[in-house]
Amino acid sequence: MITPSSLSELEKDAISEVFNIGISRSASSLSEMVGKEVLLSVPNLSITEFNTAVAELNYTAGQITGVLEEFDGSIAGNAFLLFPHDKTLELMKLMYPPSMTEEMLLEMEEDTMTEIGNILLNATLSSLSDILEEEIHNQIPKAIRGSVQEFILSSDLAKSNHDHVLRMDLTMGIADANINGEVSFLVIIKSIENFKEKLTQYFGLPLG
Amino acid sequence: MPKNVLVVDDSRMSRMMINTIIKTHYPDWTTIEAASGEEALEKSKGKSIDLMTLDMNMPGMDGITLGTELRKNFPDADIALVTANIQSAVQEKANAANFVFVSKPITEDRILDFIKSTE
Repeated sequence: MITPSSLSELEKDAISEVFNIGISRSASSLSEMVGKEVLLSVPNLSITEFNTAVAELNYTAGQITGVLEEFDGSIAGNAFLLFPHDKTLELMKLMYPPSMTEEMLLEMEEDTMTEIGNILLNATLSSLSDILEEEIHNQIPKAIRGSVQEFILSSDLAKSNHDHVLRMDLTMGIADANINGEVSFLVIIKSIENFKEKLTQYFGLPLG
Repeated sequence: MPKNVLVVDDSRMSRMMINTIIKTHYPDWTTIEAASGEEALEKSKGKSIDLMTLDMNMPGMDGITLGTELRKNFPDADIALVTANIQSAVQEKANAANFVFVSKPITEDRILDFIKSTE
């Protein structure tokens, strides 16, 4: 079970770098889809009380469109891609021919957001999987509308009875388009020692 | 001839990896580490820099802006943009600035390839 003192600063740094590599690669895919540069903030990693993390993610309740992906393996948790609802349509306009009407785009919204989430979140989880040399089982992404809190509280993560989670947040924006979204991961690590060992092996440096 | 290398990355782990690779293969070379563009500009003042590895996505100044600034002080230095951000737009910016593009994750081969490309 992870606690705020489970990881050294260098281990946190290494984990941030792993997420950074995964998200950056997936941003490249999104960039190809929208035909514009995707701007990424520096990832912010913390070990947070589960209830605090849920409360903080609830700020978007009722105003977001997004995707939740649950994953399980030696690490498990929830991955989110969240866009303000009014920006989703703007994002889709970049991806589809101008001949598509708003009505047509709205019909496609759930499918499109699910696919974007699928590409972005899976790429990051794949990087983690490569490093841990263990398969991470991804469930099918679910489109979210409304409260993020409801989804987290109904997920397996909430039932796992872990006090603390590893939380990774960053902002993803589309250049010249004033479209910004949030990417968040809430992760439980089932064996912290195994996780640390895998990180050390991967980076080839003592991280403790 | 020993060289001076400026290694800029907000990730301490990434700086350590690059530093370790350089020290293993070029033990007489000197490295200067910085965690941000601002620190890099400060620490490189008055020094002679031959090679630089610059992360792209850092708090404050990004790697392209930093490299452009540093090149004013070190016009003959070879610069690598070392980043996980493999988007075409970023690669094009690196090429336009005449930086070598090195994709993360950092590996010995990638860092040594950059160094050899400058010889």
